[in-house]
Amino acid sequence: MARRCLTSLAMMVNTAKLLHDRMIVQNAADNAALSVAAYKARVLNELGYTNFLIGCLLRDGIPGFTWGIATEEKPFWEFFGGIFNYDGFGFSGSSYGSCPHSTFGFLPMMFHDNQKHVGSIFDMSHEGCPGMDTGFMSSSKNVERISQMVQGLIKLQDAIRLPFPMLSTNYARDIAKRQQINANGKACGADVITIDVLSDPYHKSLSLGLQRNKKGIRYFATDSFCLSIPPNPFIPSGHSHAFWTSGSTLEEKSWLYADRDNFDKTCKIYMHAIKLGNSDSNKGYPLLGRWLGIEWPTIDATAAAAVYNTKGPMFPREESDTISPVMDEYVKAKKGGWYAHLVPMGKIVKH
Amino acid sequence: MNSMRSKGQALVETLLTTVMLTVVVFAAIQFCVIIVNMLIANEAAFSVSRVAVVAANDEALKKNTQWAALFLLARHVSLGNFQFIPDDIPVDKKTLAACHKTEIQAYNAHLKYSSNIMFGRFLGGSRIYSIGTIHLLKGAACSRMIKSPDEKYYNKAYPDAAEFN
Repeated sequence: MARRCLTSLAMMVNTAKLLHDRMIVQNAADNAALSVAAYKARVLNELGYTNFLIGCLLRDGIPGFTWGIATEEKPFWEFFGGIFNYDGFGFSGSSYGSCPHSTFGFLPMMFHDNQKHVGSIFDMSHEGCPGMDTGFMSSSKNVERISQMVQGLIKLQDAIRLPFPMLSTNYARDIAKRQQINANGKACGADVITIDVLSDPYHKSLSLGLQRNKKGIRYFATDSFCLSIPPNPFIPSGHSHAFWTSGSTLEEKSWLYADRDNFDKTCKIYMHAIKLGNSDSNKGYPLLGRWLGIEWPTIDATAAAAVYNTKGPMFPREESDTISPVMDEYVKAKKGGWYAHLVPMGKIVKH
Repeated sequence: MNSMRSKGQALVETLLTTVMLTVVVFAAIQFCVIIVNMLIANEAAFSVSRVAVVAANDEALKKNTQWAALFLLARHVSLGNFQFIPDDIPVDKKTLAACHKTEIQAYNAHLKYSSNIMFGRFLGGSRIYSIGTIHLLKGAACSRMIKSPDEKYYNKAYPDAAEFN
Protein backbone atom coordinates (compact mmCIF):
# COMPACT_ATOMS: atom_id res chain seq x y z
CA MET A 1 0.00 0.00 0.00
CA ALA A 2 2.86 2.31 0.89
CA ARG A 3 4.44 1.48 -2.46
CA ARG A 4 1.24 2.34 -4.27
CA CYS A 5 0.90 5.61 -2.40
CA LEU A 6 4.50 6.56 -3.13
CA THR A 7 4.12 5.53 -6.77
CA SER A 8 1.07 7.76 -7.10
CA LEU A 9 2.88 10.70 -5.60
CA ALA A 10 5.89 10.10 -7.83
CA MET A 11 3.61 9.75 -10.87
CA MET A 12 1.96 13.07 -10.08
CA VAL A 13 5.28 14.89 -9.68
CA ASN A 14 6.82 13.24 -12.73
CA THR A 15 3.80 13.95 -14.92
CA ALA A 16 3.70 17.56 -13.75
CA LYS A 17 7.38 17.98 -14.52
CA LEU A 18 7.02 16.26 -17.89
CA LEU A 19 4.09 18.44 -18.99
CA HIS A 20 5.80 21.54 -17.64
CA ASP A 21 8.91 20.70 -19.66
CA ARG A 22 6.79 20.02 -22.72
CA MET A 23 5.29 23.53 -22.46
CA ILE A 24 8.71 25.05 -21.83
CA VAL A 25 10.19 23.35 -24.87
CA GLN A 26 7.25 24.34 -27.09
CA ASN A 27 7.55 27.93 -25.88
CA ALA A 28 11.29 27.77 -26.50
CA ALA A 29 10.77 26.66 -30.09
CA ASP A 30 8.03 29.28 -30.65
CA ASN A 31 10.00 32.14 -29.16
CA ALA A 32 13.24 31.18 -30.86
CA ALA A 33 11.54 31.01 -34.26
CA LEU A 34 9.65 34.25 -33.68
CA SER A 35 12.74 36.07 -32.41
CA VAL A 36 14.82 35.03 -35.41
CA ALA A 37 11.97 36.08 -37.70
CA ALA A 38 11.67 39.46 -35.95
CA TYR A 39 15.42 39.96 -36.28
CA LYS A 40 15.23 39.01 -39.93
CA ALA A 41 12.37 41.47 -40.47
CA ARG A 42 14.43 44.28 -38.93
CA VAL A 43 17.43 43.37 -41.06
CA LEU A 44 15.30 43.36 -44.22
CA ASN A 45 13.82 46.75 -43.31
CA GLU A 46 17.29 48.22 -42.74
CA LEU A 47 18.70 46.72 -45.92
CA GLY A 48 15.68 47.87 -47.90
CA TYR A 49 16.16 51.44 -46.73
CA THR A 50 19.91 51.45 -47.40
CA ASN A 51 19.17 50.01 -50.83
CA PHE A 52 16.83 52.92 -51.39
CA LEU A 53 19.55 55.35 -50.28
CA ILE A 54 21.92 53.85 -52.84
CA GLY A 55 19.24 54.35 -55.44
CA CYS A 56 18.70 57.96 -54.29
CA LEU A 57 22.40 58.69 -54.56
CA LEU A 58 22.65 57.26 -58.04
CA ARG A 59 19.52 58.93 -59.25
CA ASP A 60 19.56 62.27 -57.53
CA GLY A 61 23.19 62.78 -56.66
CA ILE A 62 24.36 64.19 -53.36
CA PRO A 63 21.43 65.32 -51.18
CA GLY A 64 21.62 69.03 -50.55
CA PHE A 65 23.96 69.70 -53.38
CA THR A 66 21.70 68.46 -56.07
CA TRP A 67 18.14 69.08 -56.93
CA GLY A 68 16.59 65.73 -56.33
CA ILE A 69 13.63 66.39 -58.54
CA ALA A 70 14.87 64.33 -61.41
CA THR A 71 12.93 61.37 -62.53
CA GLU A 72 13.73 58.96 -65.26
CA GLU A 73 11.02 60.43 -67.40
CA LYS A 74 12.02 63.99 -66.68
CA PRO A 75 15.64 64.55 -65.64
CA PHE A 76 16.18 67.72 -63.67
CA TRP A 77 18.22 68.93 -66.56
CA GLU A 78 14.99 69.96 -68.13
CA PHE A 79 13.97 71.86 -65.02
CA PHE A 80 17.13 73.80 -65.12
CA GLY A 81 17.13 75.55 -68.38
CA GLY A 82 18.17 72.55 -70.39
CA ILE A 83 16.77 72.50 -73.85
CA PHE A 84 18.30 69.36 -75.19
CA ASN A 85 19.64 66.21 -73.65
CA TYR A 86 20.34 62.63 -74.44
CA ASP A 87 22.62 59.98 -73.01
CA GLY A 88 26.06 61.40 -72.69
CA PHE A 89 25.46 64.87 -74.00
CA GLY A 90 23.72 67.94 -72.68
CA PHE A 91 23.28 71.54 -73.59
CA SER A 92 22.13 74.57 -71.64
CA GLY A 93 22.11 78.28 -72.13
CA SER A 94 21.19 81.61 -70.64
CA SER A 95 21.60 85.28 -71.27
CA TYR A 96 25.05 86.77 -71.26
CA GLY A 97 26.44 87.31 -67.74
CA SER A 98 23.71 85.40 -65.95
CA CYS A 99 24.88 81.79 -66.16
CA PRO A 100 23.08 79.68 -63.54
CA HIS A 101 26.24 77.65 -63.21
CA SER A 102 27.95 80.75 -61.88
CA THR A 103 24.97 81.81 -59.81
CA PHE A 104 24.84 78.59 -57.82
CA GLY A 105 28.54 77.89 -57.83
CA PHE A 106 27.91 74.27 -58.60
CA LEU A 107 25.52 72.28 -60.65
CA PRO A 108 23.94 68.97 -60.00
CA MET A 109 24.92 65.75 -61.60
CA MET A 110 22.67 64.16 -64.04
CA PHE A 111 21.68 60.58 -64.10
CA HIS A 112 20.73 58.80 -67.24
CA ASP A 113 19.32 55.40 -66.64
CA ASN A 114 20.78 52.67 -68.80
CA GLN A 115 23.45 54.68 -70.45
CA LYS A 116 26.08 52.08 -69.77
CA HIS A 117 25.98 49.26 -67.25
CA VAL A 118 23.65 50.22 -64.42
CA GLY A 119 23.70 53.89 -65.19
CA SER A 120 25.87 56.90 -65.32
CA ILE A 121 26.40 60.03 -63.38
CA PHE A 122 26.77 63.06 -65.57
CA ASP A 123 28.81 65.42 -63.44
CA MET A 124 28.03 68.99 -64.31
CA SER A 125 29.66 70.62 -61.36
CA HIS A 126 32.55 72.81 -62.34
CA GLU A 127 35.51 74.39 -60.83
CA GLY A 128 33.74 77.61 -61.61
CA CYS A 129 32.12 78.85 -64.72
CA PRO A 130 34.33 81.31 -66.51
CA GLY A 131 31.34 83.58 -66.65
CA MET A 132 31.69 85.87 -69.58
CA ASP A 133 34.65 83.99 -71.02
CA THR A 134 34.83 81.07 -73.38
CA GLY A 135 36.68 77.82 -72.72
CA PHE A 136 36.85 74.11 -71.81
CA MET A 137 36.22 72.68 -68.32
CA SER A 138 36.30 69.25 -66.76
CA SER A 139 34.84 67.90 -63.53
CA SER A 140 34.62 64.63 -61.64
CA LYS A 141 34.56 65.68 -57.98
CA ASN A 142 30.91 65.07 -57.31
CA VAL A 143 30.79 61.67 -58.95
CA GLU A 144 33.75 60.67 -56.82
CA ARG A 145 31.80 61.71 -53.73
CA ILE A 146 28.79 59.76 -54.87
CA SER A 147 30.94 56.72 -55.54
CA GLN A 148 32.44 56.95 -52.05
CA MET A 149 29.01 57.23 -50.43
CA VAL A 150 27.62 54.30 -52.42
CA GLN A 151 30.61 52.18 -51.40
CA GLY A 152 30.05 53.24 -47.79
CA LEU A 153 26.41 52.15 -47.94
CA ILE A 154 27.43 48.83 -49.50
CA LYS A 155 29.83 48.25 -46.60
CA LEU A 156 27.07 49.16 -44.15
CA GLN A 157 24.74 46.66 -45.81
CA ASP A 158 27.40 43.96 -45.62
CA ALA A 159 27.99 44.74 -41.95
CA ILE A 160 24.27 44.21 -41.31
CA ARG A 161 23.62 41.16 -43.47
CA LEU A 162 26.76 39.05 -43.31
CA PRO A 163 26.61 38.33 -39.54
CA PHE A 164 22.91 37.42 -39.80
CA PRO A 165 23.30 33.61 -39.76
CA MET A 166 25.65 33.67 -36.77
CA LEU A 167 23.72 36.26 -34.77
CA SER A 168 20.34 34.69 -35.42
CA THR A 169 21.68 31.31 -34.27
CA ASN A 170 23.00 32.90 -31.09
CA TYR A 171 19.70 34.70 -30.44
CA ALA A 172 17.74 31.51 -30.94
CA ARG A 173 20.00 29.57 -28.58
CA ASP A 174 19.91 32.22 -25.85
CA ILE A 175 16.17 32.70 -26.06
CA ALA A 176 15.47 28.97 -26.00
CA LYS A 177 17.74 28.58 -22.98
CA ARG A 178 16.14 31.47 -21.10
CA GLN A 179 12.68 29.93 -21.18
CA GLN A 180 13.35 28.52 -17.73
CA ILE A 181 15.44 29.97 -14.92
CA ASN A 182 16.37 27.81 -11.94
CA ALA A 183 16.66 28.88 -8.30
CA ASN A 184 20.29 29.90 -8.81
CA GLY A 185 19.32 32.20 -11.64
CA LYS A 186 20.82 29.92 -14.26
CA ALA A 187 19.04 29.54 -17.60
CA CYS A 188 17.94 25.93 -18.04
CA GLY A 189 15.31 25.90 -20.78
CA ALA A 190 15.86 24.02 -24.03
CA ASP A 191 19.34 22.52 -24.28
CA VAL A 192 19.57 22.43 -28.05
CA ILE A 193 17.94 24.64 -30.66
CA THR A 194 18.50 23.89 -34.31
CA ILE A 195 16.98 24.48 -37.67
CA ASP A 196 14.44 21.72 -38.20
CA VAL A 197 16.32 19.61 -40.75
CA LEU A 198 13.23 17.71 -41.89
CA SER A 199 11.55 20.92 -43.05
CA ASP A 200 14.64 22.89 -44.02
CA PRO A 201 17.46 20.47 -44.89
CA TYR A 202 19.64 23.14 -46.51
CA HIS A 203 19.25 25.65 -43.66
CA LYS A 204 17.80 28.28 -45.96
CA SER A 205 16.15 29.83 -42.90
CA LEU A 206 19.50 31.29 -41.94
CA SER A 207 19.94 33.01 -45.27
CA LEU A 208 18.44 36.33 -46.24
CA GLY A 209 18.14 35.27 -49.88
CA LEU A 210 19.64 38.57 -51.05
CA GLN A 211 22.35 38.89 -53.68
CA ARG A 212 24.58 41.78 -54.59
CA ASN A 213 23.89 43.26 -58.02
CA LYS A 214 27.19 42.94 -59.88
CA LYS A 215 26.43 44.57 -63.18
CA GLY A 216 28.43 47.52 -61.98
CA ILE A 217 28.07 51.27 -61.85
CA ARG A 218 30.04 53.44 -64.22
CA TYR A 219 30.83 56.92 -62.94
CA PHE A 220 31.60 59.45 -65.65
CA ALA A 221 33.58 62.63 -65.44
CA THR A 222 32.23 65.47 -67.51
CA ASP A 223 33.88 67.76 -69.99
CA SER A 224 32.24 71.00 -70.87
CA PHE A 225 32.71 73.77 -73.36
CA CYS A 226 31.46 77.22 -72.40
CA LEU A 227 30.76 79.81 -75.07
CA SER A 228 30.06 83.46 -74.28
CA ILE A 229 28.83 85.91 -76.84
CA PRO A 230 29.32 89.42 -75.53
CA PRO A 231 26.61 92.06 -76.09
CA ASN A 232 26.95 94.11 -79.23
CA PRO A 233 24.51 96.09 -81.31
CA PHE A 234 24.14 93.43 -84.04
CA ILE A 235 24.06 89.91 -82.49
CA PRO A 236 21.81 88.87 -79.51
CA SER A 237 24.08 88.17 -76.57
CA GLY A 238 24.26 84.74 -74.95
CA HIS A 239 26.13 82.32 -72.73
CA SER A 240 25.88 78.57 -73.17
CA HIS A 241 27.41 75.28 -72.08
CA ALA A 242 27.76 71.98 -73.87
CA PHE A 243 28.50 68.88 -71.80
CA TRP A 244 29.73 65.43 -72.69
CA THR A 245 31.03 62.48 -70.77
CA SER A 246 34.71 61.76 -70.62
CA GLY A 247 36.73 59.27 -68.56
CA SER A 248 34.85 56.85 -66.33
CA THR A 249 35.47 54.55 -63.39
CA LEU A 250 33.62 51.28 -62.87
CA GLU A 251 32.52 49.95 -59.48
CA GLU A 252 31.43 46.35 -59.65
CA LYS A 253 29.12 46.19 -56.63
CA SER A 254 25.87 48.04 -56.22
CA TRP A 255 22.48 47.40 -54.57
CA LEU A 256 20.98 44.19 -53.27
CA TYR A 257 18.31 42.24 -55.09
CA ALA A 258 16.05 39.45 -53.87
CA ASP A 259 17.18 36.27 -55.56
CA ARG A 260 14.02 34.98 -57.22
CA ASP A 261 14.84 31.32 -56.61
CA ASN A 262 15.73 31.57 -52.94
CA PHE A 263 14.27 34.67 -51.37
CA ASP A 264 10.64 33.50 -51.06
CA LYS A 265 11.68 30.23 -49.44
CA THR A 266 14.07 31.79 -46.97
CA CYS A 267 11.32 33.90 -45.41
CA LYS A 268 10.12 30.97 -43.30
CA ILE A 269 12.15 29.84 -40.30
CA TYR A 270 11.85 26.34 -38.84
CA MET A 271 13.11 25.70 -35.32
CA HIS A 272 13.53 22.50 -33.38
CA ALA A 273 14.02 22.78 -29.61
CA ILE A 274 15.27 19.83 -27.56
CA LYS A 275 15.50 19.31 -23.82
CA LEU A 276 17.74 16.37 -23.14
CA GLY A 277 16.88 13.68 -20.65
CA ASN A 278 20.18 14.22 -18.82
CA SER A 279 19.81 18.00 -18.74
CA ASP A 280 20.94 19.79 -15.59
CA SER A 281 17.37 20.75 -14.72
CA ASN A 282 16.33 17.08 -14.88
CA LYS A 283 18.67 15.95 -12.13
CA GLY A 284 16.72 13.89 -9.61
CA TYR A 285 14.01 13.07 -12.12
CA PRO A 286 12.12 10.93 -12.63
CA LEU A 287 11.17 10.71 -8.98
CA LEU A 288 11.69 7.13 -7.77
CA GLY A 289 13.04 6.40 -11.24
CA ARG A 290 15.43 3.66 -10.17
CA TRP A 291 12.81 2.02 -8.02
CA LEU A 292 10.20 2.13 -10.78
CA GLY A 293 12.74 1.37 -13.52
CA ILE A 294 12.03 4.43 -15.69
CA GLU A 295 14.28 7.05 -17.27
CA TRP A 296 13.58 10.67 -18.05
CA PRO A 297 12.84 11.15 -21.76
CA THR A 298 14.24 13.68 -24.20
CA ILE A 299 11.54 16.21 -25.04
CA ASP A 300 11.42 18.10 -28.30
CA ALA A 301 9.14 20.53 -30.11
CA THR A 302 9.10 22.30 -33.44
CA ALA A 303 7.82 25.69 -34.50
CA ALA A 304 7.86 27.89 -37.57
CA ALA A 305 7.78 31.64 -37.98
CA ALA A 306 7.94 33.79 -41.07
CA VAL A 307 8.63 37.33 -42.14
CA TYR A 308 6.05 39.02 -44.32
CA ASN A 309 5.35 42.31 -46.01
CA THR A 310 1.82 43.06 -47.10
CA LYS A 311 2.91 45.39 -49.91
CA GLY A 312 5.85 43.75 -51.64
CA PRO A 313 9.36 42.39 -51.29
CA MET A 314 11.08 45.83 -50.97
CA PHE A 315 13.95 44.63 -53.18
CA PRO A 316 14.18 44.23 -56.96
CA ARG A 317 13.53 40.61 -57.92
CA GLU A 318 16.44 40.08 -60.27
CA GLU A 319 19.81 41.41 -61.24
CA SER A 320 19.37 44.34 -63.58
CA ASP A 321 21.12 47.29 -65.10
CA THR A 322 18.46 49.84 -64.22
CA ILE A 323 17.99 51.81 -61.05
CA SER A 324 14.23 52.17 -61.27
CA PRO A 325 13.25 48.76 -59.76
CA VAL A 326 15.28 49.58 -56.63
CA MET A 327 13.36 52.80 -56.10
CA ASP A 328 9.98 51.44 -57.16
CA GLU A 329 10.10 48.32 -54.99
CA TYR A 330 11.05 50.27 -51.90
CA VAL A 331 8.42 52.96 -52.41
CA LYS A 332 5.79 50.26 -52.97
CA ALA A 333 6.77 48.13 -49.96
CA LYS A 334 7.74 50.67 -47.32
CA LYS A 335 4.15 51.24 -46.18
CA GLY A 336 3.85 47.57 -45.41
CA GLY A 337 7.26 47.00 -43.88
CA TRP A 338 8.59 43.61 -42.86
CA TYR A 339 6.95 41.96 -39.86
CA ALA A 340 7.19 38.56 -38.24
CA HIS A 341 4.57 36.08 -37.05
CA LEU A 342 4.18 32.44 -36.10
CA VAL A 343 3.01 30.25 -38.97
CA PRO A 344 2.05 26.59 -39.33
CA MET A 345 4.92 24.16 -39.78
CA GLY A 346 3.17 22.65 -42.78
CA LYS A 347 3.73 19.31 -44.46
CA ILE A 348 3.49 16.49 -41.91
CA VAL A 349 3.26 18.60 -38.77
CA LYS A 350 0.22 20.83 -39.05
CA HIS A 351 1.03 23.34 -36.39
CA MET B 1 -4.62 -11.32 32.09
CA ASN B 2 -2.62 -8.14 31.45
CA SER B 3 -1.03 -9.79 28.42
CA MET B 4 -4.44 -10.63 26.98
CA ARG B 5 -5.61 -7.01 27.52
CA SER B 6 -2.48 -5.68 25.82
CA LYS B 7 -3.07 -7.92 22.81
CA GLY B 8 -6.65 -6.67 22.53
CA GLN B 9 -5.51 -3.09 22.74
CA ALA B 10 -2.92 -3.64 20.00
CA LEU B 11 -5.55 -5.22 17.79
CA VAL B 12 -7.92 -2.29 18.22
CA GLU B 13 -5.16 0.24 17.63
CA THR B 14 -3.95 -1.59 14.54
CA LEU B 15 -7.48 -1.76 13.19
CA LEU B 16 -8.09 1.94 13.75
CA THR B 17 -4.72 2.90 12.31
CA THR B 18 -5.18 0.68 9.25
CA VAL B 19 -8.60 2.13 8.52
CA MET B 20 -7.31 5.69 8.84
CA LEU B 21 -4.17 4.95 6.80
CA THR B 22 -6.26 3.31 4.10
CA VAL B 23 -8.41 6.42 3.84
CA VAL B 24 -5.33 8.66 3.75
CA VAL B 25 -3.55 6.54 1.14
CA PHE B 26 -6.56 6.32 -1.15
CA ALA B 27 -7.21 10.03 -0.74
CA ALA B 28 -3.58 10.71 -1.71
CA ILE B 29 -3.88 8.45 -4.73
CA GLN B 30 -7.14 10.08 -5.72
CA PHE B 31 -5.59 13.52 -5.28
CA CYS B 32 -2.69 12.50 -7.54
CA VAL B 33 -5.03 11.21 -10.23
CA ILE B 34 -7.06 14.43 -10.16
CA ILE B 35 -3.92 16.58 -10.40
CA VAL B 36 -2.49 14.51 -13.24
CA ASN B 37 -5.78 14.78 -15.13
CA MET B 38 -5.78 18.52 -14.60
CA LEU B 39 -2.24 18.76 -16.00
CA ILE B 40 -3.14 16.67 -19.02
CA ALA B 41 -6.20 18.83 -19.67
CA ASN B 42 -4.18 22.04 -19.42
CA GLU B 43 -1.54 20.65 -21.77
CA ALA B 44 -4.25 19.68 -24.26
CA ALA B 45 -5.87 23.14 -24.07
CA PHE B 46 -2.47 24.78 -24.54
CA SER B 47 -1.67 22.67 -27.58
CA VAL B 48 -5.08 23.16 -29.15
CA SER B 49 -4.94 26.95 -28.77
CA ARG B 50 -1.38 26.84 -30.18
CA VAL B 51 -2.69 24.99 -33.22
CA ALA B 52 -5.64 27.36 -33.53
CA VAL B 53 -3.52 30.51 -33.79
CA VAL B 54 -1.49 29.14 -36.69
CA ALA B 55 -4.41 27.65 -38.62
CA ALA B 56 -4.67 29.31 -42.00
CA ASN B 57 -8.48 29.33 -42.16
CA ASP B 58 -11.60 28.16 -40.33
CA GLU B 59 -11.62 24.77 -42.02
CA ALA B 60 -7.98 24.13 -41.14
CA LEU B 61 -8.65 25.36 -37.63
CA LYS B 62 -11.42 22.84 -37.05
CA LYS B 63 -9.52 19.93 -38.57
CA ASN B 64 -6.11 20.65 -37.04
CA THR B 65 -7.42 21.32 -33.54
CA GLN B 66 -9.31 18.02 -33.59
CA TRP B 67 -6.17 16.18 -34.66
CA ALA B 68 -4.09 17.91 -32.01
CA ALA B 69 -6.60 17.05 -29.30
CA LEU B 70 -6.81 13.46 -30.48
CA PHE B 71 -3.02 13.13 -30.65
CA LEU B 72 -2.59 14.38 -27.11
CA LEU B 73 -5.53 12.83 -25.37
CA ALA B 74 -5.53 9.43 -27.05
CA ARG B 75 -2.60 8.36 -24.89
CA HIS B 76 -4.48 9.17 -21.69
CA VAL B 77 -7.84 7.69 -22.53
CA SER B 78 -8.57 3.99 -22.53
CA LEU B 79 -11.83 2.19 -22.92
CA GLY B 80 -11.18 -0.15 -20.00
CA ASN B 81 -10.22 2.51 -17.50
CA PHE B 82 -12.28 5.67 -17.23
CA GLN B 83 -9.81 7.72 -15.22
CA PHE B 84 -9.87 10.62 -17.65
CA ILE B 85 -12.84 11.31 -19.89
CA PRO B 86 -12.40 14.35 -22.13
CA ASP B 87 -15.28 16.21 -23.69
CA ASP B 88 -15.11 18.17 -26.94
CA ILE B 89 -12.61 21.06 -27.10
CA PRO B 90 -14.44 24.02 -28.61
CA VAL B 91 -12.26 26.87 -29.82
CA ASP B 92 -13.92 30.25 -29.89
CA LYS B 93 -12.67 33.45 -31.40
CA LYS B 94 -12.88 36.74 -29.58
CA THR B 95 -11.95 40.19 -30.80
CA LEU B 96 -9.94 41.85 -28.07
CA ALA B 97 -9.27 45.24 -29.64
CA ALA B 98 -8.99 47.03 -32.94
CA CYS B 99 -5.87 49.03 -33.61
CA HIS B 100 -5.20 50.87 -36.89
CA LYS B 101 -8.04 48.98 -38.58
CA THR B 102 -6.44 45.71 -37.46
CA GLU B 103 -8.45 43.49 -35.16
CA ILE B 104 -6.59 41.56 -32.49
CA GLN B 105 -8.12 38.11 -32.34
CA ALA B 106 -7.80 35.81 -29.36
CA TYR B 107 -8.50 32.11 -29.62
CA ASN B 108 -9.80 30.39 -26.50
CA ALA B 109 -9.62 26.63 -26.18
CA HIS B 110 -11.92 25.16 -23.52
CA LEU B 111 -11.60 21.57 -22.50
CA LYS B 112 -14.20 20.05 -20.24
CA TYR B 113 -13.35 16.67 -18.84
CA SER B 114 -14.31 14.25 -16.10
CA SER B 115 -12.14 12.35 -13.66
CA ASN B 116 -13.21 9.04 -12.23
CA ILE B 117 -13.19 9.25 -8.45
CA MET B 118 -13.24 6.35 -6.06
CA PHE B 119 -15.50 7.49 -3.25
CA GLY B 120 -17.81 9.78 -5.08
CA ARG B 121 -20.81 8.36 -3.31
CA PHE B 122 -19.54 9.75 -0.04
CA LEU B 123 -18.68 13.11 -1.47
CA GLY B 124 -21.14 15.76 -2.41
CA GLY B 125 -21.12 18.90 -4.52
CA SER B 126 -22.36 20.03 -7.86
CA ARG B 127 -19.17 18.97 -9.66
CA ILE B 128 -19.72 15.29 -9.00
CA TYR B 129 -22.17 13.24 -11.06
CA SER B 130 -22.72 9.54 -11.58
CA ILE B 131 -23.15 7.25 -14.55
CA GLY B 132 -24.23 3.91 -13.17
CA THR B 133 -21.67 2.97 -10.56
CA ILE B 134 -19.04 5.35 -11.89
CA HIS B 135 -18.69 8.64 -10.07
CA LEU B 136 -17.17 11.47 -12.01
CA LEU B 137 -15.71 14.81 -11.04
CA LYS B 138 -16.13 17.64 -13.55
CA GLY B 139 -13.08 19.63 -14.50
CA ALA B 140 -12.17 22.31 -17.02
CA ALA B 141 -9.04 23.76 -18.55
CA CYS B 142 -8.63 26.65 -20.90
CA SER B 143 -5.91 28.43 -22.79
CA ARG B 144 -5.89 31.65 -24.79
CA MET B 145 -3.51 32.80 -27.51
CA ILE B 146 -3.40 35.76 -29.87
CA LYS B 147 -3.43 35.20 -33.60
CA SER B 148 -1.36 37.09 -36.14
CA PRO B 149 -3.48 39.83 -37.77
CA ASP B 150 -2.15 38.85 -41.21
CA GLU B 151 -3.09 35.21 -41.47
CA LYS B 152 -3.25 35.36 -45.27
CA TYR B 153 0.54 35.55 -45.19
CA TYR B 154 0.92 32.22 -43.41
CA ASN B 155 1.97 30.56 -46.66
CA LYS B 156 3.80 33.31 -48.48
CA ALA B 157 5.89 36.34 -47.63
CA TYR B 158 4.25 39.05 -49.77
CA PRO B 159 1.45 39.34 -52.32
CA ASP B 160 3.20 37.91 -55.41
CA ALA B 161 5.56 35.55 -53.62
CA ALA B 162 5.86 31.81 -54.16
CA GLU B 163 4.34 29.73 -51.36
CA PHE B 164 6.65 28.40 -48.67
CA ASN B 165 5.71 24.75 -49.02
